[in-house]
Amino acid sequence: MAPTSTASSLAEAGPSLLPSEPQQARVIPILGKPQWAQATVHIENDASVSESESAVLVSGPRPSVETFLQRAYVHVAALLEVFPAPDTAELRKRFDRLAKTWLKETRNISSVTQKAMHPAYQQIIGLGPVAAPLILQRLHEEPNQWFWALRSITRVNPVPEEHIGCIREMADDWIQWGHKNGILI
Amino acid sequence: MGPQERDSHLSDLSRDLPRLDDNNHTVTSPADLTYNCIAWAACDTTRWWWPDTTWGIGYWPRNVPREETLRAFELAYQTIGYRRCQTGDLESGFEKIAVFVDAAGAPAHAARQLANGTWTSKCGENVDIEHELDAVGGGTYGEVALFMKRRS
Repeated sequence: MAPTSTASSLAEAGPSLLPSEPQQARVIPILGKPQWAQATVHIENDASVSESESAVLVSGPRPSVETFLQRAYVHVAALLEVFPAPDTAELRKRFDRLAKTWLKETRNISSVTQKAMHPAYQQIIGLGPVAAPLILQRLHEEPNQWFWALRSITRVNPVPEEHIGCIREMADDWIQWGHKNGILI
Repeated sequence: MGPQERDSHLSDLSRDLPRLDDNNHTVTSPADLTYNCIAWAACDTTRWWWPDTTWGIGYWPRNVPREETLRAFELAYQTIGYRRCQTGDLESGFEKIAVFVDAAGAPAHAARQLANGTWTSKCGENVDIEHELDAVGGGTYGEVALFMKRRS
């Protein structure tokens, strides 16, 4: 990860430094731990860059803000290419299957921790942010212990202290948060 | 509850509670996901009690360590007047609870004694049952590790 100071600089620099045209990205294997960032890809501009050159780039001195932005831009683009958005219908089907298993196999369990550690629940968390709308929808239909997954995925907590443990109130808090943030339509 | 529904409920429970059978328990309420066994033992049907530490999702009494240990559960029940006792035998003028721990020694369940000497349990988000104390042991809930009592 880039140091905080660099992140601040990037925020101040704004999007003007981004390349005007998307660059073609390609994934280059890590040849050594980057000293300036945990980058796994970098820009391939007009000139092709060999893997040995990439090793120099990632292990060399900290780049300029502009170079960093260019690399970050392509890094995101490359990630999207490597991990394309999942098919919505397929995702829903997978979520429904995992949720059904989890509900069935943890129905008699009181431990919040044990429920959350169930393999099906962990796989739902592993789906990442794309699972958040599905979880919120499920929570809207029937409140249940989806809070651990939502906290893990979103890293936010819309539940006030006085609602802790109150399943329906907690569900309402999350549903409101989902509406407010455009995640739950 | 019809025979088909009863069979379905029993198979649902007996997967986790292998000692449970038709002769040692009765269902006393429908499933309800707003409270769990720990809350039910404390006569609270409004909250899910649990001292989870990662995100703090379950309710837990203030000033009691938020940790999944028998000691923390004992302290939690002390906040509502329970004190440790030796047995689950029926004692006039007292109500009792039993805390179960799993094979790893972690609290997994709590049951509350009824005036007739039998016990009542909430099974996760599933039904409430009236049962013999031993009937819910031996599976997911483990065995009784602590009895507590308070004046009724």
